[in-house]
Amino acid sequence: MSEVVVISPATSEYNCIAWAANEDFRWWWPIPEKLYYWPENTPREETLEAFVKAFETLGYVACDNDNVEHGFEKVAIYVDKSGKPKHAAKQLRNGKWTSKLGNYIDVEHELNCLREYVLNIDKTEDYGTVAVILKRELDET
Amino acid sequence: MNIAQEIEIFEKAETFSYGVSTEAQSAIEAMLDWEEHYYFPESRQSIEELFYRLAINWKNDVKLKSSATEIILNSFYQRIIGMGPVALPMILRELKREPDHWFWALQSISGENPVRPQDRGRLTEMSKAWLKWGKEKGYLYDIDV
Repeated sequence: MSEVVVISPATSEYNCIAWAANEDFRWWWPIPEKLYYWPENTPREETLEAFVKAFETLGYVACDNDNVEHGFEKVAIYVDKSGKPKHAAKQLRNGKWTSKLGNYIDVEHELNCLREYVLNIDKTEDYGTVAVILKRELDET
Repeated sequence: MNIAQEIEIFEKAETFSYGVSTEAQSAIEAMLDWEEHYYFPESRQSIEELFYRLAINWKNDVKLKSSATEIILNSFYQRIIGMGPVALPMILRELKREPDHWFWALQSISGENPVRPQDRGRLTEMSKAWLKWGKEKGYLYDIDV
């Protein structure tokens, strides 16, 4: 298994979607009861389309590869076997990816090794596989 | 069962988890589950013991989950909601100790939601709003919030 590096202690202040969206102070999730943050005018439903639209509100667009591209940042959305979103990660400039694991820690990892890492911690927790890569221009200001 | 006993059972389960097949692991978990229910049946537990047992199991189950839906639909969490208003003071004390995803349980049981729209998802701010609510309703009469 590729190396996974813990980069911050456990906290419940934010989740993986927030972390991928460059936030570390709130939870993003589209439950209809509006308990948690979800971008305005974005469907509050657990579909890949709704998650893509949420990131589109931040300027992300579809991307056909997970390579490092100068001047761009990327996020990946993971789905389970039924296509329901389970997780999101964001790319670091070194080409690795970073993820917040639920209420737990932040880690740095290869894009496709996270599932195995999490299953080794909890055999019932399946983060699924990458369904979509999105990218946006880096704000260098 | 008290918290120390709960932790002991989890530690036993953790210890037994390594180097065994999935089938053996399932058998061990079933045995531990049987042992727990044999020695500590819910009928002999106080409301507090039942609440904290469910809360510990819930926290353990959802540690790695980012899906708020899965966190609040967890069976242990749903059983806490099923305890009704008697659970409110204990939930609020847990929230005072550590912000966590108790908001749906509080809203389901009380029918209220004191969290401002701009604080949705901010666990610390949501906790403060609910603790203030709990104080005003008399659920936290003996502690400062």
